[in-house]
Amino acid sequence: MNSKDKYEILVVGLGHAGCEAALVASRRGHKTAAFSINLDNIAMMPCNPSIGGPGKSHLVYELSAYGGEMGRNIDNCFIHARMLNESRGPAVYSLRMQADKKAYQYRMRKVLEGQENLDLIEAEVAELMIKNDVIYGIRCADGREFNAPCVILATGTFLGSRIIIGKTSYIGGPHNELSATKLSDSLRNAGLQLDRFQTATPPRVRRESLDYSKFSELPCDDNVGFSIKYKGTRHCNIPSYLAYTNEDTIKIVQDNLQNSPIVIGNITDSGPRYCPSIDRKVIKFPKNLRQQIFIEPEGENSEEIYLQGLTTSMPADIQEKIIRTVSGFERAEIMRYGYAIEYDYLPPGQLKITMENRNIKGLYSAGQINGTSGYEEAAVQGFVAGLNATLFLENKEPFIPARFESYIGVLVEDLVTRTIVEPYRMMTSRAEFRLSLRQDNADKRCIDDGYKYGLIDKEIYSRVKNKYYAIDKELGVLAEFKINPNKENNKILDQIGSVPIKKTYFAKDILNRKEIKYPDLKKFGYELNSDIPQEWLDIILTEIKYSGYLCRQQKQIERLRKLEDYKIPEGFDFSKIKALSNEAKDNLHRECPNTIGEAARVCGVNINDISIILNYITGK
Amino acid sequence: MFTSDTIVSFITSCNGPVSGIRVSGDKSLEVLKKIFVPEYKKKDIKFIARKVYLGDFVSENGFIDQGTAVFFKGPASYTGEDCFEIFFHGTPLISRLIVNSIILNGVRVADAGEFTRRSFLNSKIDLLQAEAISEIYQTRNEKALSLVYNNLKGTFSKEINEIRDTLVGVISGIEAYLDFPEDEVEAGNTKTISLEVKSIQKIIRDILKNRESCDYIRNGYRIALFGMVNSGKSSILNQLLKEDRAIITNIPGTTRDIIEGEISIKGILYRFFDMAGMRLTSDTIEKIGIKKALKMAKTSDLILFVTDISLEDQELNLKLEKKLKKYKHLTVKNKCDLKKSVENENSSTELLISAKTGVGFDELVEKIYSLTVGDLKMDDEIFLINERQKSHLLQTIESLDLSLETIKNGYTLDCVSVDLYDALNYLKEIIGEISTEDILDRVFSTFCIGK
Repeated sequence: MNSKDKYEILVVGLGHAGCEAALVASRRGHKTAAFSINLDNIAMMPCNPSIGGPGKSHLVYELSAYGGEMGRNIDNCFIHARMLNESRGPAVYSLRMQADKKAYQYRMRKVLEGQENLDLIEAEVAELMIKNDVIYGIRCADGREFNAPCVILATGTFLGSRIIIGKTSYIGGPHNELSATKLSDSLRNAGLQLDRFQTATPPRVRRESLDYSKFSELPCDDNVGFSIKYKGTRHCNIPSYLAYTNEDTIKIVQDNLQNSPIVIGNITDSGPRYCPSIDRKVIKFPKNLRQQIFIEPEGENSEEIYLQGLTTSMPADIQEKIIRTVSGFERAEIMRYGYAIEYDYLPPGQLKITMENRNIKGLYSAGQINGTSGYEEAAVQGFVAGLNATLFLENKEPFIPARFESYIGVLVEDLVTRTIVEPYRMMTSRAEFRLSLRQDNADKRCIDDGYKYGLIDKEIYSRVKNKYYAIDKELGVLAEFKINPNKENNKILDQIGSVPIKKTYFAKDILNRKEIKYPDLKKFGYELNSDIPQEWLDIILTEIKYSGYLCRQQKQIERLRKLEDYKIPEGFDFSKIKALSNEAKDNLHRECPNTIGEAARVCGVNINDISIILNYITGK
Repeated sequence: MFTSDTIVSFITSCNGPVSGIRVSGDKSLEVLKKIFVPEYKKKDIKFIARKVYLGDFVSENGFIDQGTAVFFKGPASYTGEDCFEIFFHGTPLISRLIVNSIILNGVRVADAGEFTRRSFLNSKIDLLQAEAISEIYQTRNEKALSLVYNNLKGTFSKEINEIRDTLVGVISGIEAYLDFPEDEVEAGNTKTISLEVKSIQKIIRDILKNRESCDYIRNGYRIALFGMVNSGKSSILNQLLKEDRAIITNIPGTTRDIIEGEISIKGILYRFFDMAGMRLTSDTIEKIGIKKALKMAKTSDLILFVTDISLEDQELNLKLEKKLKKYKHLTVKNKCDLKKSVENENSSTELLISAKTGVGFDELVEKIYSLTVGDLKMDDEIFLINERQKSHLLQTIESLDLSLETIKNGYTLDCVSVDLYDALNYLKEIIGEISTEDILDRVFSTFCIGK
């Protein structure tokens, strides 16, 4: 077989980033090969088997509207779903789905295998082939070589990975997979900078060994979904539960801290603050005795239960002691012990916003290798990298989502401009314009690009277009329909239990009253639109209720857009601005941005630096 | 095209016994070596930073003058860049020759305030401190000067930073609540948030309350002398100005009939306006004169209504005093030395004095001070707040008001946070600083979250 010149894009790794990268590349008609160290473990969830949550769900909704696969995949194999934050505001509503871990992998594998233009190859990629700072292929550990002008690295936590349990530590990938030991050296030789991060996972226990009478069952939501196509087609079928630690749990952890890797010091300290191990929580908040443990089954064909909240990499016997202090866990049997994993990543300052490497042409990276954390964060980067690789091959303008358009825009911009000190996780607080970037309007924000790049089919596209056409039309009618302050109308209001009006109200303003529902408008002579489903009505109500805030954000966004295009004088000498960090100065000097928008996306340049640069340019 | 040039400017008058020039920028040392040859000239002398050298200033045409030079190595300089300062005989000719010789070496004349601007941009000082520096030049009394130095030393910045930290605490609580719904974060309680927001508002309002004091400390009080002709207003003014040795000016006013004078009472500046006296024309008081004087009085902080107590007929004075009812005034009964029996005792609005003998002037000064300063705080705890800072503080309060309203109207915390972030940004603008990571840092250090 002449494998040498067959491919245009090579994807290294088939986790969540690799799957999306491989799919977008091949779906856009480019011959793609995707490599995995073990093809049985495509789209594996080595930590919590769930998709979504605040910020993360926004990413998945957007990815779905762009034509990514993650949303469709989880919609087809979740076992439990919850709409979180329902009382905390539309900006932070977020769907979280518990996955049937194996079913998720099988379906994704089937999609990949059925995809035209895509070959799946089992191999450990050992070396990048680079000449004059341009990549031209990869070499596998077994000596096979593959040529292509684009290579996307999506190695997850496998790169130079090491497992740590108590004082023990050995070379290995997640769940005792192989570690990709050789590729790191190749990256170093190519002049790339590598650093270490760590993360950890809790023990898994046998389902039958727990006493469920001691736990409370978590509510679940039906008729939900991330994807436009499969939303509401499946129902929750396995419950999740909630348990709590107690004084004994905390005491055992405290008494055994000398066995914790973070105390021993045989692990890097750079771990995710938002996923603290029980060891770290006890060190930092020793008075917090009652901590939550979410009891989450891993799927229909598995007896394993994931214990969210009990992450630890203490020695096995201590893990057992800790767990058995919890009410309902007295007889708990651990099937897999918790562990920490330490791995190489490429500090993302080396990236362009397209996810291409700054120095090596054609080399892209996505996912945990870029210093992020989470399946969702990985998937969207895989999509951005894959799409941009195809656009590069087609000689087209790159795909660069802005931070005021999507969470994906926030993510890629943060990655290339901020110094990452811990694995980067998406949170709604990172999105300055989160009221405008809701999960309910992700389809509106992203579908045009998805369609433009040929990743959304016509039927879905017109469904979304029609939906917003109808919503906008209805909003227009509501904004014009008048309700006069006459006796009749005030009598109706009284019947509904609302206070009378003294001046003319528009229908949209009266809808702003909590007690008044859309169908009530009929009593005032308003012609109800029966074609509008409840979900669309919810969007309409959100738009009306939050219009003041949305308008304010829209104005801020407009200002940003203008700044985006603000010209930086030719030959502007950034090195003279002493207030900039040396890193920002060097990078600005190298990149020579033409506009403030471009400058803002240069690595190491933060919003403070931008205001200083503006100050210099405008002389104010 | 913009470059961060090396810049030059006078730092003293260019026409005095000694004049001084400062140069700042990367080329400083290079330029200094070209225009200045130290005594005991050695080739390639190394200028030790902050050491004073005596030597000759030279141009292409040779010797210009003798003087001294000091080199400052950045960042340990006023601007944070390499700098030097030179001093020479301050004649217009020498000044011109030396500046020309510097400019010929590729240095440009600095814009107004550019040294201080660079100092700010190079993070040597924050915005509040930069503003304090420009304030120094407008300060004309001791009290104001001590407040300016408060700002310069960063006391005000510290206060603003403390407020900012409190607000960051509130926002981080909300963020923890919104981003970690499954953790048991209790920061979502809107009652607590409202209380915290209100306490921040109170601190800012207190700062603003003192702003009235600031205005007076900085600008002083305007005191109008008002009364019939020949009642002794000018004599009183002269006596007042003599009384206080810290006379600054005693110049005719812009209009021919107003005389102005300044004195300092307990470090506070008082500016007196001596208006031409009212005249009697065919038994009525001159109307135009009164109108004019009242107009002046309106813009004064206090009117000294001067009467000639030695006159038998006080009817006209009583008529005039009626006109002053609306305004804060003190009736000063002058010429008490001419009147043998004094009927009234001094009251809270009346005072007997004699401009001739000086009787009653200690009381007068005391009275002027207490009638103007009154309850205003004048201690060192208050800050000098300029218009820009005031407007940002007001915007902060306004945004916080909006957040309270948002809570009151039952909106969710994602909306409340919009207003709180606005408030935070206004606070940051006061010190001219923006940082983005502080919220998340606070979230993780304060709340036990994450699984």
